[in-house]
Amino acid sequence: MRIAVAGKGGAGKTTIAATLARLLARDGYCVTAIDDDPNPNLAVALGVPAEERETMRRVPREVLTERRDERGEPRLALARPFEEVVKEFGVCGPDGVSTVVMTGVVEPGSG
Amino acid sequence: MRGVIGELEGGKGENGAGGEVTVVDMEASIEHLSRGTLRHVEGLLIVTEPYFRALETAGRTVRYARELGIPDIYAVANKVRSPEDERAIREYCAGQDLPVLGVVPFDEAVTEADRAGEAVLDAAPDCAAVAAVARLAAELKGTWVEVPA
Repeated sequence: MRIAVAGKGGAGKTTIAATLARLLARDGYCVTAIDDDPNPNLAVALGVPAEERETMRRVPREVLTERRDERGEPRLALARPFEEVVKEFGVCGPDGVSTVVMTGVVEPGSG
Repeated sequence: MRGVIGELEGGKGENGAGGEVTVVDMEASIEHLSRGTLRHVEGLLIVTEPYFRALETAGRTVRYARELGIPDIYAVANKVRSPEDERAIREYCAGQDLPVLGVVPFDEAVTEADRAGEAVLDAAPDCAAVAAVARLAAELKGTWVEVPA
């Protein structure tokens, strides 16, 4: 299940996304939290400690690879296993919520 | 740009028994996103405050999300201070045919946690806002996500 959380800046979407992610993780779900905001602060709202936040880096484009889908249209996919991507660029946050910043990776497309 | 979110979904815990959930904290507006990216999103929560501009943004977002064909779209009312606030959001959303899945009260504990750079879930686990998000999580479980084995 993929849930996107949108809303006007300041409406509280990051707080709600983070709290929701952790509560679902506590319920036994395997939760990944992706920060797609250009001013990323989801990790703060999740409660990732400052020293761990400093190790986080935006997932770079090199980690993505283009391939053709069943209709022959170009699609981007992760070129490496997700666990590895989280380990290198993200963090495993409180309640086991894996967190990565992918700002600018999910962006305007031709679709 | 396509498929990244979908790829992530398959990237983690494929062999695990627990249900998988990916939560994407979007840019303020979703207008920059393509059909291709969002086709991997089954559910969209639009967080809105009881103010005209926030509601207008929610209205634009829901119209665009429908054009993109996102199946399940819900509003979450946030920073609700009074029954009038809740009514304003419910009336606007009813006009957009947009169900309100959760109502989160204005809560000083959220402001304080923000100020301190902490998660409200750690700083004030028993506060009213967290309780409201817990109810929202319960709604989601009944609506979208399968219960973990």
